[in-house]
Amino acid sequence: MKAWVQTENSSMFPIKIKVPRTIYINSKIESTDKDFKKVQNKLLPRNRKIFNLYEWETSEEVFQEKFHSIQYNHLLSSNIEGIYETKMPLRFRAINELGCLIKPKKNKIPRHEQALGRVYSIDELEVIGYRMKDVPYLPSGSYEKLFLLHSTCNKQQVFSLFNFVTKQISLAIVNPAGPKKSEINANEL
Amino acid sequence: MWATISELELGEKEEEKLQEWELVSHYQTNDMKLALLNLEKQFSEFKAKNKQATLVLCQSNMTTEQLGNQGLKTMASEFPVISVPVVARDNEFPAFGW
Repeated sequence: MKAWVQTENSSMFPIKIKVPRTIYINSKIESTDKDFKKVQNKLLPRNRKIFNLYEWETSEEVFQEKFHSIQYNHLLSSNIEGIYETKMPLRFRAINELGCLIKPKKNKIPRHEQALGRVYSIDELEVIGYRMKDVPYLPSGSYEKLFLLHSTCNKQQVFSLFNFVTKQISLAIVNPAGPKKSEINANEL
Repeated sequence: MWATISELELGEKEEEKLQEWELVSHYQTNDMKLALLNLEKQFSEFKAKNKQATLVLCQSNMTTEQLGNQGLKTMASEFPVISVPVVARDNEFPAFGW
């Protein structure tokens, strides 16, 4: 997952975050599978009864590969009450777990690895949400803006790019019935 | 047919704000890719000249990915893009006489 981060000194760059897929299986019988971690502190939707609730965390690739066999082996089994969070969007999960203010955990990032270009896992990032009062999220003036307005009217389209740094506008009008390319008389606008 | 600023019947404050802006690039074409290539050039020049954090607010019926595939590659890959909901009223251009 690509995430844009802005540092305290106002530089902005994209980082990659690997978000694992976590699903929950509510089983009426105990499981001996070591990949399944038993969890206690969870509530099921609509307050369904928890028998033995197991958490299975894996990469999205493995999950997609095994999803059909999971459905076949578990959902059809009378010992399984249900499987949860199989459709949770990973982006939502990342936002839910990380919030908007994070920093890399010092001891988790190998020293020889660059901060830029590496793929972060969620447990390598530390949530600093408690500092919201001290460090406001995207304070006004910490970033510049470009505004692209794409308007359509029947088959005609207008692309307007507003540059808030230079206060300049670039305008491109697409008119299928018009000439291939022609300058617009700016004085008439 | 084009309207002048006075014909747009803007309020005084709106007209003052509009005067702050400068139209630097303007043309019409019958080819959308050509239009987007021109904007792509603007984005890539901005990226090369400006190192400060910059957000792109994009108000379009097309997704950022679609715009990127059509030619706005720099916008789609080099900037964080925030999609702004499309307002039907913004699609009316009586001044263009279409």
